[in-house]
Amino acid sequence: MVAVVVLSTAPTGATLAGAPVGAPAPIPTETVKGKPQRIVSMNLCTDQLVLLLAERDRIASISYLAFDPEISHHALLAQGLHANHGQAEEILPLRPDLILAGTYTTRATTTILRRFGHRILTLDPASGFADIHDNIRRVGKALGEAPKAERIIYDFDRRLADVRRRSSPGRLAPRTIVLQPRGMTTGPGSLVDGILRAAGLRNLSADLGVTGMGFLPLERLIAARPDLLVVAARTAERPSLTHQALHHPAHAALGDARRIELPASLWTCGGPQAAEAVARLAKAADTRDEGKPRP
Amino acid sequence: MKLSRTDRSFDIPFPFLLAGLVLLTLVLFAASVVFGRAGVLIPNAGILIGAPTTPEAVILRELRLPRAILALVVGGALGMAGAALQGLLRNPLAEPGLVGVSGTAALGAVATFYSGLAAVYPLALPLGGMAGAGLAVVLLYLLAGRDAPILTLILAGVAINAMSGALTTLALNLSPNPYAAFEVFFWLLGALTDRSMDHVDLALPFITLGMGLLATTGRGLDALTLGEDVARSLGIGIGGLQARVIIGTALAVGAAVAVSGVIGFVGLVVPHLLRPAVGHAPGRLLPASALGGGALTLAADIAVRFATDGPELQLGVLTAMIGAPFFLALVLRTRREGQ
Repeated sequence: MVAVVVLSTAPTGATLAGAPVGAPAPIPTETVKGKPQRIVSMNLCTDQLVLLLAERDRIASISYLAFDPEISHHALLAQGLHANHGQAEEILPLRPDLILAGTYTTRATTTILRRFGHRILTLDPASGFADIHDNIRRVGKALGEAPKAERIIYDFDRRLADVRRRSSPGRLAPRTIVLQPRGMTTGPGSLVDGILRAAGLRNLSADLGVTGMGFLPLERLIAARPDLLVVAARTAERPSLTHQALHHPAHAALGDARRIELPASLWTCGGPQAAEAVARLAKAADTRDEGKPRP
Repeated sequence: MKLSRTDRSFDIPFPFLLAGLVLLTLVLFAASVVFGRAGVLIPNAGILIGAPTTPEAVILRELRLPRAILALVVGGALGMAGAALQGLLRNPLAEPGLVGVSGTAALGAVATFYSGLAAVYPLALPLGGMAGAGLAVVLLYLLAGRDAPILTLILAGVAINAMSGALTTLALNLSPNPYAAFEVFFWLLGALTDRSMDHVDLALPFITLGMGLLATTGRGLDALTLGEDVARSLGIGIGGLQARVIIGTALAVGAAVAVSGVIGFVGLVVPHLLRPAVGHAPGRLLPASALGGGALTLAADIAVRFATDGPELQLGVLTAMIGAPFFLALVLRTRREGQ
């Protein structure tokens, strides 16, 4: 979710509508034989899959967001690679033979690069576990790493099944609200909702009429008395009002709600790291106090 | 709006006017606590003492009460500072937002907040706001003090506003936090949504101090209407008067903006509506504008809760929609009178 918001306002190549002089020769899709060797990714979520699936020396560039450990799960793998800001001027000289981008981000740049004949794979943000499978598979295929992709999908599913097996049978599903920045919460039809359900939690946002991404005033959140609050972990050294609001004293005042801080990197993008988010939430749900009467 | 009649005075005894404004402010303060997105909540004595245990108590104590207090004192600071600046500069268009004092205060607060300084040392936030506001008032006084033409004041304000707005936006764009860039809305078009008692604790002492200082300038501003020489002959120390208005404005507006962002036009609309009712006496206008500013901001802050279904409207958007047409009308009137 973070990535979509961030990238949609990231500078795009819109001002480059007039084609730059001396642009590299287009590389038609048909001539690319075998595995792409100069892969460029312009979106945080495609970065994650590229870092996971491709060998390092085949990655020509990834987005600058991939280096931020707060939102990028594979920030360690990213170290030392070339960073781009989704601008055509940076991408063209790299002579990429495959470009990955988000469907809704860096759109102007994607249009220009496509006009230059570049091979571009755009990925929708995952809105559930089925999308995670699809995205891993699509990127795996495009990178020529289909078997590796299948292995990752297999491990991911096995990990989810493990969590399901281990969770306490018959425990009450804690009524949970996910606190997203800017007063947003996530209801059914979102990746986060899928993560909650896989962890055996009940998404209270659905009861409050939120589908997908929706706005939930803090007053109504407090009035709904959730058992669990899930928030993105914050780092104090990079303050924002948005993160300050996630830690409003009103949350602490309502002592009976447990609070789980989950690193944003686990649930910002749909990838195998979602299984780690599921495992952490399930563990928190198992260890919370039982026997409280539910209204 | 009674613009065409503002030259005349209304026959309202001053104590009655103040009592009426106090009553209006109290009613709006109560409404601000009672009405909100979680519906109508009536506070009782049990809710207001001890630790809040129910969601209703938490909403009232941790969300609505700080919000109502901030609306009251931030609005009060802006109204009073507007009246004081208009009195000192003898210029009807001086207003903390228009002349760039609020914008520079926001810049100071942004610098301390996004650098992480305010996270380590919370007082840095209001101190940054007050430093910014102080700088702007001094700059303004140097550029357009002492009976400068109205145009000079407005142009100085435009310049200070443009500079502080650009630097605020720059600071937010440079912040490593990806959300910071969105928060330019908050700083340029203020809000009181989901503020907390922490913000009240940070701002209230300085706002009180600043407004206290401004309250002492009444007699001096009254004398100043007769010109500096006459004021001096009446025993008014012009330097001290200037210093108190400048420091009072810096404290009150700086601390207010540091927790609410820039809420424009309150200091323009309120003194202008009340001036005829106080017989055009700057001294009496100060307390009246403080109450009126509190009342207007409380009312606007209630309105933004219900104006939309989604995220609340920025408070500064609403005050600008009320204030900007008012400002235009004032400009037209000033031009007509100048001819």
